Parts: sequence; C-alpha cells; structure tokens
Amino acid sequence: MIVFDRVSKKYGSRDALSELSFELKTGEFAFLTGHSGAGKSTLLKLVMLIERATRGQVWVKGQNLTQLRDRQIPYLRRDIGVVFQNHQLLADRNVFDNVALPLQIAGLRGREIGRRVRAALDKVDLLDREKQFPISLSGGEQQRVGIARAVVNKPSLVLADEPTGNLDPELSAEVMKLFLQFNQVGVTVLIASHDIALIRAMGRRVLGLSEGKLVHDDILSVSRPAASNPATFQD
Amino acid sequence: MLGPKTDRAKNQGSANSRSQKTESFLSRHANKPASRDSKSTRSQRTNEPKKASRASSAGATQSRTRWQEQLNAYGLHHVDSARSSLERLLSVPAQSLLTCLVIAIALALPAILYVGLINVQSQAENWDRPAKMTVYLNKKASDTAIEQLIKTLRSRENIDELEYIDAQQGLIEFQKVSGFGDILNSLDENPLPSVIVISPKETRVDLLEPLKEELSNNPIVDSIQLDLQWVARLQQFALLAQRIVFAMTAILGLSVILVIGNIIRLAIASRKDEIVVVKLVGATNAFVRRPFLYTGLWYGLGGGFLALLIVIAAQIWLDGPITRLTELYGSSYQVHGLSATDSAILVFGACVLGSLGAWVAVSRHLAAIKPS
Repeated sequence: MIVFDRVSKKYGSRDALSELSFELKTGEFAFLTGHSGAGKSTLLKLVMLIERATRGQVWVKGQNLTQLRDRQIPYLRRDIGVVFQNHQLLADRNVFDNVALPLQIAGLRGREIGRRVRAALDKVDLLDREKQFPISLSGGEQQRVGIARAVVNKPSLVLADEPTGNLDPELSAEVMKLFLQFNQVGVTVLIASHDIALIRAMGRRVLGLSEGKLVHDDILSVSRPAASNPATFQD
Repeated sequence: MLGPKTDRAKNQGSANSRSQKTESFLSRHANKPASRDSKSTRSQRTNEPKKASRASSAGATQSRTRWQEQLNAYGLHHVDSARSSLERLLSVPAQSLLTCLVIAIALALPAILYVGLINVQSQAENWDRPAKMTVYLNKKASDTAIEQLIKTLRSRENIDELEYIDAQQGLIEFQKVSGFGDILNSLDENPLPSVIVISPKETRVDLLEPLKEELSNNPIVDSIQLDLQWVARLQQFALLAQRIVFAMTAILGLSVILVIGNIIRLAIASRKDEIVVVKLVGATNAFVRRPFLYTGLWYGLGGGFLALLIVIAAQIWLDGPITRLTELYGSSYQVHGLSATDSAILVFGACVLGSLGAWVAVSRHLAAIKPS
C-alpha cells in the first residue's frame, strides 16, 4: 500500500526525513510515532503529496508518487481518507455537508451522496446530528465527523494525524475502535500519534521516527513493554 | 460555498434502515482481503483495483456508467457552483449591489458615449447623401452651351446623378415652396438662374474640389455652391469620437476586470481554509476554481444589466430636450438608443469581463493556496 524507498525530505538545510525506508502492506494497521518534529507529519504529507520527496521514491497503491503529475494529485487523494487533529471541518456547513464534501468532489449524485453520508454517520454514531453545525458538537463528536468524512468515499487507505490529540482517554479509545473496525474490513490504516499508552493498548505495528530516521519498527504492546526505548517516542 | 450543498432526502432514521445502511457502507470493504501481509494480495489491490470493485455489484454499476456519471457530475457541479455562488452574492445584497454598481458605471460611460456616437454618425450619414454640388448658370448662357456642359458632366465617372432645373421650372418650384407666389408674379422677369444639381458618387473633398475648379472656369457658370468642408469635418469628428469611445471602452473594460479580479482575490483569501480542506479531500483545481468564476460571471451580469438601465435612463432623460431642441431648429430628430443587439452585447460583454476578471484572480491566487 505504502512503500518508502530511501526517502529524504529537506526543508531548506534541515532534514525532515533522511533515507527513510519502510513498507506498509495492504490491510495493515500501523502507528507512526516520535517527537514533535521527528518527521511524522512530513511522512504523511509525502503520502498525500502535500509535499514531494527531495530524494528517494514513494509508492502509494502501486503508483510512484515521484512521477505523479500535479493534476493527478486530486485523484490520488480521493482514495485516501485523512483525519486531522483539528478536524478541519468547515464551520459554515452542517455535519451532513461536511461529510458529503468528498463525494461531491468525486461527482456523486444527490441520492447516492445521501445514502453514503448517512451510512458513514451511522458508523460513527452521529446520524442524529446531521443538521447540526460543527461548532455545536463536542470535540469527540467533531473528530468523529472528521472520521466519517475520511471514510465516506470508501478509501482503501486511511491516514490520521494525531486523531486523539485533543481527546480524553475514553474518547480516544472510542476513536481507535472506529479505526480498528475500518481495518477489519480491509482498510489500511496509518495513525500518527504521541499517545504511547494508547498505542501500547492496541498492540499493533509501530513505526518510530526520530530526527527523520526510522528508529523502531515493531509491535509495541502491553505484553512487551520493553520492546524499545519508550523515551524515543515520548515528548 | 465551494462545494454544492446537497439536497438531502428526509432522514428515515429507523433502526432497520440504519443497520441496512451500515451493511451497505461496509459492503465494498467486505470484498477486500483482510489479510495483512501477503504480497500477492498487495499486487491485487494495487494493480487490479477496478477488477476487484467490479466483483461487487455496487462496483459494477459504478464502473459501467463511470464516464457518464463523471459527465453528469461535471454538469451538476457547474449548476451547483452557479447556484451556490449566486446565493453567496445574494446573502450580502448591499455589498453585491455596490460591486455591480461600480461595474455598471464603468460600463455605462462608454455605452452612453457609444449612443452619442451612433447618433452623430447617423447624422453624418444623412448629411452625406445631400452633399450636392449646385452649379448656378449664367442667365445669358445659351441652351446649346448648357446642353454641352450637361453632356460632358454626364460622361464623368464620379457623378451619380445630375439634375437640370431651368429657370422657369425653378421659379415654379420656388413659388410652390416659398409661398412668395404673388410677389414673384409681380416681378418683371424671373430672378432665378438655371441650375445644375450634381450628386457625386462619393463625398470626397479631393475629388470634388477639382471638379468645382474646372466648372468655375466655364464661362456659362455663374457660381458654384459646394458645402463640403463641414461634412468632412463632421465625418472626421465622428471618426475621432469613435476612437475615443473605443479607447474608453478598452480602459473601462480593463478597470472592470481589475475590480472583479480584486473582489475575487479577497473572496479567495477569505475562504483559504475552505480551499485547503477541499483540496485535501481530492478537489481538482477546476473544482475549486468554478464557483469563483461563476461569482465573476454574476457580478458581470448584474453590472451589465445595471449599465443597461443607466444607459436607458440617460436616454429617456435626454430624449425630451433633444427632441425639443431639434424642433426649435425646425427639424424632427429621433434619438437613436441602444438596439437590442447592442444591449445584448453590453450585457454579454459585461459577463465576459466579469469571468475574465475572476479568471485572472483565480489563476494568480488559487494555485498559491496549497495544503501544508
């Protein structure tokens, strides 16, 4: 699903990523962790083609992103669901219209949009909130709307950048449960997170970044607390 | 609103339909291999995504009618962009009206000048035809000499029509027209000379002047009246006015583009966050551009119509005084307004300028907004 082959990304003279290689297979569920500035966001941006790699090759769904033209980028993004820490919901649209956005962009018709939006909202248990505006929702609900929007187009890959960053442990666990459910039906999930406790509880593959390098690639779980040096991932 | 708001059907939130929806929501994913690490699975996913989706019934319909749907969706988004951008403008009516008014004034000015121009031109054309050369003959001229002169003149190329009015005929006509019949009758002899009226094919000073020169050398010619200078001046003035109208139209048209460009630039800036989000979820540049282009179009359309109203109002306002003025000069003159075609061109041109202004702003500022 995602292949990084000796990927480097420079911002000016600073190396955000250097010689990073890893592969995330289809259907995998992995966490991406590391300090602020370790390169988590940069990695996600390279997958989304928000940024382009300075060196090396990035493959997403069999497509070499290095060779992908700018005008093909939208079509790549349509098959990637993204969840942001700050939700990135549009304040002037209600929940329904926020979730419908990717479908409208993909050019679906009204009836099909309605069907899929409700299905996605149902999935995150917000079906009764479709007419409300994001401002009237709680943080956890807003994040769930963001998740509904990310999956409404049935992407095969879901990326999440600190999806539980602003949530309390209980809500975080709920959000993670959602991601797990998507993963169970075949969606590849990559979550950037600081939340070591949560990551441990999940017992999934963890990619640890430090100063732009991959320093850890293993399953981190409660059963294996000493799998690596946790200090590497914690702020 | 960047994207269209969808018309949503009433929400039937019964528990049954809910669970049905969830099932259908998951249906495509259910076809996907859930295995985590088989290499073959990966290649299947990456190389044959279409085949995989065809396997499911929903996917089959999707791919069969895909291009059709894309086309429909394209048209649909145009309609939605047009509607949502119009709604956006109407939601701030005073502000939108002001903008349209600025555009209208910028367009009305050259349009009014144009109306003035077509009136001047129509007059210049009307005066063009009666630009005749009147040759007054010597009363003592013999009939043969006159006939000879008429014959030579008829052989000239530049002469369209030639009318000979002898003294007697002239007197009869003059009596009829002037109402001086009795006085004329009391005269001993006919005071009028015989006259040749020459209508040239072209009213050109450089062609008619030599003819005048030649005729005045003829001994039977008494005098020649050729009032060409003012016709030439009027035509020159009309030409100058035409150029001025063109220049004004170009300059003010450019100002319309800049005004709309600036407004669209502000609109883009104020919706930067929204643009970032829609780009992140896969919007093409065309998708993002479309509503702004329609906004420009609506401004142009509104401005064009207002400009038309201003021109018509100005015309009505000036029509009375002009008619009275021409009446005082003993003639009747119908003021020419904008024709239906001219009006359509004005409004259409305004729409083009509006879209162009939006295009300028969008192409300059939209590309700069990228998710970061």
